[in-house]
Amino acid sequence: MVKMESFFFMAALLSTGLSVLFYLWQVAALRWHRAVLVAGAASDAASTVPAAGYRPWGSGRFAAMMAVNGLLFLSLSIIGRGVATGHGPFSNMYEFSVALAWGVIAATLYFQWHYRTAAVSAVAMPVALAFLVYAYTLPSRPLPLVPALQQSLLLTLHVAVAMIAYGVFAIGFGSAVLYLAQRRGSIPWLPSPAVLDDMGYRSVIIGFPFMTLVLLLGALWADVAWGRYWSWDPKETSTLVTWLLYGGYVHARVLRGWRGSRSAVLLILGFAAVVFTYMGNYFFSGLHAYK
Amino acid sequence: MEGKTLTTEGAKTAAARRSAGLARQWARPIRRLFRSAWRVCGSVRVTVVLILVLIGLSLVGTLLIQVPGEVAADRAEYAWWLQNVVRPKLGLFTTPLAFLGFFDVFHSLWFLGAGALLMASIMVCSINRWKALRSALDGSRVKLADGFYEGGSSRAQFSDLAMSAHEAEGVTRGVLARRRYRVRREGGADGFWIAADKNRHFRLGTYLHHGSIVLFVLGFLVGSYFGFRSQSFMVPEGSVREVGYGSGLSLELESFVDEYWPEGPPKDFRSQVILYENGAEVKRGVLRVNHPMSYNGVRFYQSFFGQAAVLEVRDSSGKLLFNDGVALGWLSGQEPYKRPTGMFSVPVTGLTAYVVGPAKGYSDPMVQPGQVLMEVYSGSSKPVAVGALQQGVPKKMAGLEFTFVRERQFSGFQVSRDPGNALIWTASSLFVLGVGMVFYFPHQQIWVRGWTEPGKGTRLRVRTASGRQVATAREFETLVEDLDRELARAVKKV
Repeated sequence: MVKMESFFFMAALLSTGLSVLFYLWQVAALRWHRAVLVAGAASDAASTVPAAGYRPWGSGRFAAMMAVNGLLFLSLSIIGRGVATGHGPFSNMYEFSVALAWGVIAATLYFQWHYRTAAVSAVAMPVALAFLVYAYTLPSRPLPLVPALQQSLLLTLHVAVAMIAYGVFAIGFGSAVLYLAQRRGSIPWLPSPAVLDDMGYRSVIIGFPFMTLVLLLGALWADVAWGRYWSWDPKETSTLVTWLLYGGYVHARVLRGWRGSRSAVLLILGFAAVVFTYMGNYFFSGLHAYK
Repeated sequence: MEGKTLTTEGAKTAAARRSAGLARQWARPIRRLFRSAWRVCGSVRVTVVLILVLIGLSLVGTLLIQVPGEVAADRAEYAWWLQNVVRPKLGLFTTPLAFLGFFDVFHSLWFLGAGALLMASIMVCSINRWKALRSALDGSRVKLADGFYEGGSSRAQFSDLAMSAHEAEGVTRGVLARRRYRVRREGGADGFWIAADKNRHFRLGTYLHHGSIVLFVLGFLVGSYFGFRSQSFMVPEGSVREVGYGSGLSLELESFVDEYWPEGPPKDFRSQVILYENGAEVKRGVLRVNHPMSYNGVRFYQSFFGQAAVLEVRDSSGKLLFNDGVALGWLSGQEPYKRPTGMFSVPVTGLTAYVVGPAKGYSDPMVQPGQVLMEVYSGSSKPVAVGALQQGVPKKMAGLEFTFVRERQFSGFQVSRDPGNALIWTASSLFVLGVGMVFYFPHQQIWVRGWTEPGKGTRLRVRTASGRQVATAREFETLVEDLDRELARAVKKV
């Protein structure tokens, strides 16, 4: 089973890598296409909008197919490992990185389908690839669980909701990055600023409740395992900070009408906090140090 | 007599008047102060600043070394900790950082102050929000000026419909009702007006999750003031220890087992225990990590374990003074020789004895395996006797006979009573419920104006609330599709 699992992982890594290549290739193609458009516009001053029938990002089918492949293989890898070890992907950084990559790819595909644009995918998929490459460098041998981690149900739920929340926040990050590039609407081959802004907001609307569950399930487990629901453990604290940042985003948007660049910056900060929290095990010891 | 009464009455009224004047004099500044405090607390900007302050302080608490709880409680120990643990790392920064309370950020004035202000601000904002919320619950006006229907974050228009305004209204109401909108209408000679909304009650979720934050804090406070928590309750195998904190409970450890996976990491820690209340057995069972034991609100958690030594002490006449296990529960000595150490007081004699085991992982020049080192103190910081005890061999020290009977293990528990716990989990549930309500059931509002244009047919204008909302845009899109289809069908029928 473990051997199968590593085969699935490699297949997923390859698919994701190819998917990223296709996405980047598409970006290059679109830029080139724009150059053609602009040249065309010089002769025909009437059209600076893409010609009819031209679907920006519509041709990214390969990229999306590869991403779907990656998701399938990752799912198989996670399930296979789950069957072999008898628990969810929470016992070490390798498992958690794979789970995170799964979340990012799933969110990417959902948003691409929902908004019919692959622009944000071109930013989010490299994030997924980064998690996978990082997982590749980590020892993947499943280790038996120390007593505190022998709480399969709560921990699997805890990681599952983290997977969704972080995956969706990666989309928020991607759309925020593109928003900042596109804030004047000057790049014709990217979605309009309003759509990017919308995607960012939607990512938080989906992700924030899940982020809340990450905190609460973690606290519930801590209460069962250690008898205290909160101990200001560094990873707890930085998860709380992440949660506060996204909470701040929601409040700033709903109550103060923050839109555009300012909320895009918040989304980028929020995702930086996600990555910091995820890498946190290396900066500080504590209950989440997997030791 | 009467006059006198009058004067006292007069004096009374004068005093009352004076105090009333004083109250009047103070009322205005107090009211003004209250009003500006209210304004400050109700400001979103202040709230955002408070959250940023809390984030900043949390980062400090995450990145900067924090004092352990037991050390923080004792001034002298804290000073020692600063000097010996922090100063070697942070040098000159130690004093100013300590002055700011940054080594115990989560109990510092800054953190508690910002937290308290945030609570106040959440409450004030919630109260301020009630007005807008109530009008949303009541529903907006139905009949609005024509210009209104050209606004909104999304809008649509149907024109030249070959049907009467009345028929168009029927179709529209049908579509809205099927989508479970509450429909309110007004009609007249010049057409109809509809104001429809759904999910309005879900907006009350905002009180659930904001209120739950206050409950969280309350639960935390109740827990810390009316509960207790012992992080290091140690019981050697075969011994009974009182829990304390007025609980009347004591715990006996019959045996402790630590099991390991073939690969090395720990697999299981098990303590077989008996719980007594005022000396009578009330419960027995196995305590494991993730499987705490609970009795009358007091919960026991398997936490750590270590070496223990069973010791016997007799006086010169051979009378047994002490026969019990001693948990070697903390480490003493310099690196690399960190030795497990414990202590006990010898009854009657007023002596205190420290028991030191051999350092783990090194061949220890001071304490050999199978030995413990005894240091006996009588008040002063200089031991009155020091000596190594070989297992099973009695040794005379300080006029007494000490025997290291055998080696055992101790089990360390976390014991806590947290009456705030129920509040915390209630708050958690309310929070999830509230966030779910507000995020996944967004309040939708739709306004429709329809009228017949002479010679042209009926025209409909539809709009949403202003403020671009993702969910609104999507809901509106499908609503308009429905409306389009139904209107077309109705036209065909006509």
